[in-house]
Amino acid sequence: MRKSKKILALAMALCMTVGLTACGGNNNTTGNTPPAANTPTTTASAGGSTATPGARTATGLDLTACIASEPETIDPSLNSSVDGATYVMHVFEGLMKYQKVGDTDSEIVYGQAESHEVSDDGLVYTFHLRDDIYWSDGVPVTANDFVYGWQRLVDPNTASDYCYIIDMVKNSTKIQSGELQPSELGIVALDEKTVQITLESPCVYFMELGAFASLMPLRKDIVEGNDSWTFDPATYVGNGCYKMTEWEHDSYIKMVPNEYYYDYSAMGPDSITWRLMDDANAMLAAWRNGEIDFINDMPVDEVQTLLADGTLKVLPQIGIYAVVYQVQNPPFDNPLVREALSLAIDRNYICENITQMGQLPATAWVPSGVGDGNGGDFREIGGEYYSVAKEDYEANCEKARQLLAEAGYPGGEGFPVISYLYNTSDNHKKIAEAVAYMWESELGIKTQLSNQDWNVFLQTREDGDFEAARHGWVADYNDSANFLELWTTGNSNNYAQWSNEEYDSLIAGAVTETDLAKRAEMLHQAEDIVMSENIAAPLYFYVDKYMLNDRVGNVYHTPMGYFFFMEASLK
Amino acid sequence: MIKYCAKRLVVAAATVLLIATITFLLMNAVPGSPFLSERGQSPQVIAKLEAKYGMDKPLIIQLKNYLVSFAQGDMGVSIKMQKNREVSGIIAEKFPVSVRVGVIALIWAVIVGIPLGCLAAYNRGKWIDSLLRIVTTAGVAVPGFVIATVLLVIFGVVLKVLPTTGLDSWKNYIMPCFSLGFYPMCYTAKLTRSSMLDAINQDYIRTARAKGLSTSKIIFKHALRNSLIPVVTYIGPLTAYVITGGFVVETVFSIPGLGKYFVQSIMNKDYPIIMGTTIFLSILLVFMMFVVDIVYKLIDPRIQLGKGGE
Repeated sequence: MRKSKKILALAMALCMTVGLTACGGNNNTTGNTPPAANTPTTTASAGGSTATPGARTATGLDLTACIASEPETIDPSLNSSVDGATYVMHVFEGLMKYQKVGDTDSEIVYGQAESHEVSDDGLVYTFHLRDDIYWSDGVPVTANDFVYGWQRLVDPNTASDYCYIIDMVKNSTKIQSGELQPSELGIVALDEKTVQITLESPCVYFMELGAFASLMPLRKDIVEGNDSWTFDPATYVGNGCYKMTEWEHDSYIKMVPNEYYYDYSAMGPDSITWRLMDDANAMLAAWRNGEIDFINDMPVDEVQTLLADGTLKVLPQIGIYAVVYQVQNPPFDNPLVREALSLAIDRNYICENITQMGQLPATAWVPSGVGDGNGGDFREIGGEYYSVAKEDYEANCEKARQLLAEAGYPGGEGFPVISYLYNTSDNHKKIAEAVAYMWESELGIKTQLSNQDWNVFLQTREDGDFEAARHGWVADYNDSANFLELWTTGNSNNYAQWSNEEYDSLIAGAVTETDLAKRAEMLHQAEDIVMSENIAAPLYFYVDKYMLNDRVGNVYHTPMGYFFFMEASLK
Repeated sequence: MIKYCAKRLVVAAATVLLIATITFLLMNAVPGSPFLSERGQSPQVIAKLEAKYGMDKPLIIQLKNYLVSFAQGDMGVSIKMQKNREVSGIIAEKFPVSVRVGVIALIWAVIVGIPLGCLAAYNRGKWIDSLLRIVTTAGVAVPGFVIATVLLVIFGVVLKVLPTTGLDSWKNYIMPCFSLGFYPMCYTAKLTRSSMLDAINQDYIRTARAKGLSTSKIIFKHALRNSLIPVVTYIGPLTAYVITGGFVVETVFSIPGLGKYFVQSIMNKDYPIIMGTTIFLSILLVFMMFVVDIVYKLIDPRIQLGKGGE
């Protein structure tokens, strides 16, 4: 009797620990589904042409890259992140695409389209699709797939973050607000291989949007009514150069070249494995012992050493980090105060001692490298609004003190303690501390720092419930309007709650202006206003950082933050 | 016994319900919305999203709807972390991964911790006891991520003998399981030592000694059994925590387990995942406490289930 009890006790104890393995032992391979079987034949229904898988010689490169952790979504219409867009642009291809030029740069070239015409008024774009384009299941890509993909983006039922990206397309905003049906969007399939897009106003960067990750063609027969189509490699059917074969959530996404892609034979890696990792230390460790070829995040403390020995490389990115003021409440309603605070910031110190990654001290709101739509570099033409030369910092501070005195606060006397808000992160904290120190030591202004979790921060900042706050913006497309539009009255990114009629009319005018020189001039005038009003204090222009294993070459990049691996090769 | 179990079941259901309600109200009390993004959606888009996920209704109705669907086995879909994926699917996929790491960690913690505790108690005051005290105190005091990171650097980066990411081979389990189990091992050893010392001073042990039993027999047959009660009390809930994934260890070693979903769902305000993981953990916890009670009875027949202390 006692024996049996003992055995029972042992069994129970075993249950406590081991027993639970049983319920978990199987069924963990959901993401491990074998690659979708491809039928090399094609249906006659869609296009009529017959797809035959292409031929390709293996390159011997199985590339492993880590650009982020588990993506929120890889649905082109729903995605709003850089990592998600990167996966999308490897699996899908728009009318246009990014192609490698030079060492690491890229340019916009025809993708699924092979030619296009634009009407004289710049409002009607007609794209002719290639004949040899197929989905990864062999079905031909048609103009209707583009129509569906674009309509789905602006359909309010999709509730896409990026629906505004094609606001210039006819009826787009009315569809988003529910006044019109998605079918009334200004995009039609003239025939199987011709897409015609009608705009409400001319758009200088429209061709670039042809490559944008949210504007991919989609298969209505697969996507419609299936919210989870992206999770299964069998239904995640793309028309791009790679196709997803495995997705083990929180672990990796695996892609191989799409044998129906027109340039299949030229594809680089035999496979791309995107490791999905959360921890920068782990990424660096895995990179160092060769498990991963490419990473673009690493512990901040390691950056200096890695930069010094050349393993970490940086590329320009079109983005800005800034401090924004809520301009409706005192003391920030006074432009003199805002200018004084902006001038007292030592941007070189922040770039050299805090961010330490070769960022450029910001001299204006629109970053370096942004086109002006007229063939020029917006920043080069626009120039600097204040000097960021090291030797001028003292003079800047002197001017700041004068401005502050003019505003009625000589030596910071009588100036209230201000608050500075940022979202919880070590990097933002260090920058906030430095800025607060500069304001106190140079102007005698005390600052209280406060941080909030991301979602709370977004709400607080959008509501204008702050005095000074962190601001950052990375371009969606390479045009200065993308940065300047943010300050129009009522724009949801106008955290400053600033409103200026002249500014609004300049931006509105620039959007519809067809004379590119005039348009650029209007945008420069707009920047003049926002900079003379000092709505925000630009701190620095972003860079992209990355580490690539020496065995790999031909990885390229766009200044919007996307890296491309389809042409990567062994050195 | 059946009556006791039925009673426990009712209490368990009420507990889980209470936890679900509190969690639901708390997570909704935190400011901010899951649908906000820096790309600033229009109010129409946010309204559509709220309607899509049933968040346009009053809180109390939302809670009722959630509980009704939950009772029918529907835990909703993720609204942020893995947009539109079933929460039950995520848990079903991640939990087994965490269980594999967690169970190994737990087994080594118990198998090593209890004998070490006995050894320390048996050698009380001697050098071996002091040594073990240093190790276990350090183990309890040093945070898990320190141990994990130190292991990662030594064995993964410098010596390159163990893989640093994923769970592809048995070698991948060594570092995560060791780091995850180290704290429980040390704590179990400390607990065993002190309760063993308690037991050794009892009259029946003196009687056993007087009867001339060997020390090892006294320790492992008589004293151990009586000193296990506090250890079992600790290990029960611990099991629930460990098998649902250690966030830090999973992050450091890039293990695709459930741990991160407990933490990141809150930061992402992914309501269905917050609810799903919390309820899942509370059910496991309640179950483990029930198992602990049964084990008590088996270890010590003097304990009467459902009477007195209940």
